[in-house]
Amino acid sequence: MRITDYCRHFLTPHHSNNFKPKALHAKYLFVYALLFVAFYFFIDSFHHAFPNILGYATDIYVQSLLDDTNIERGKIGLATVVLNEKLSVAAYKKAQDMFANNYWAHVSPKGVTPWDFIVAQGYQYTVAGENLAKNFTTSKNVVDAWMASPTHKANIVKSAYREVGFAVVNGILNGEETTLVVQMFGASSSQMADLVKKQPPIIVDSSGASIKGEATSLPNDALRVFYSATNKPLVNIPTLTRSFSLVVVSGFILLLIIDAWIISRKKIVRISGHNVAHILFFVMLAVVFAKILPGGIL
Amino acid sequence: MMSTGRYILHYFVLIVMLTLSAWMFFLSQGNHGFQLVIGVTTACLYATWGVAHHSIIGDLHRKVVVEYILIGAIAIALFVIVLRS
Repeated sequence: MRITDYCRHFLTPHHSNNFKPKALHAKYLFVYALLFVAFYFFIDSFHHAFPNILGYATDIYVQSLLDDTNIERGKIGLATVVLNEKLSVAAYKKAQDMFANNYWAHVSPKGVTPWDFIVAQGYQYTVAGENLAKNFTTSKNVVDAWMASPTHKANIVKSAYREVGFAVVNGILNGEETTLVVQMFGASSSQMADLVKKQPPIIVDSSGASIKGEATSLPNDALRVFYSATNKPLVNIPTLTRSFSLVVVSGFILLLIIDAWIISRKKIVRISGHNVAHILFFVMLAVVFAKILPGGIL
Repeated sequence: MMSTGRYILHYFVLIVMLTLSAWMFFLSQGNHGFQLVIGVTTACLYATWGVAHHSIIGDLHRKVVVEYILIGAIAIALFVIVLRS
């Protein structure tokens, strides 16, 4: 069989394939499903064996998180929040506690609340809030995900907040490499002493247990920012899986459109599902895969 | 032979179902566990819609049922790849 004949047999309705592209026959659909499951396990295994080749890219900066947060507040005319050392340290301690006690929650298994971390740093708040995120690729992804969630958005655009602290920490959570972002908001009666506008970063190491970067000299040596930026594997898993899914879904849509066009033109009658319904379904999949954000928020 | 009106109604139901699923999916950004539940539910609903539609039309065949189930299975596999990898 020549290549052109095979392509016609595989991709278009023809008498050789009972007027349905072989690629859409049940046997092949079953094979695709199995291959996709195998692909999932391949990614998982390869990632564990070669994390530097196939891994999770991280490119998150505290300054970007602060800027994006203030941009969102500015859109509705709210005052900007400024970075506060005590809140940043509280956020870092919270991230450390999550790694140390292996949990992903606002309240630890021991019952420690976000407010306990804030108060422990000597920050006497009148109002406070916490947003959490994990495993996002970029700072913008993090803020976008928070803004897409009504409860997290409520924190970001709460007018009562005057200050914010961030920690971006890499570590191991539930056996998986994880990048945690902790954002703590607050307002206190003694804000002025802690206010600064810009701070250089301190880099937190991959275990989340120590600080590798230098505490750059700041006004009154007051402020530290926990900042973890880069993990750049050769292939980023979220990008790979999303691209793969979009290619697959687009392929199905194209195949179904060609099939629908040919059977309509040739007035072929056959026992089959409706291509229009399948196309609508795959279009919905394409939309959600295109817009999905990596990572989780709490 | 089913009337055009019934076809339109069936496809209207399908479009509403898919739109609601996508909307709920976006509302759950950042919660991959819940998004996976939405994805699996949508795939199951789609297969159910297909079977019900063809049953009402009167051309339900085992091959058609298998086709909708496999399309749903492919969607679930893709959701797992995207949300669990």
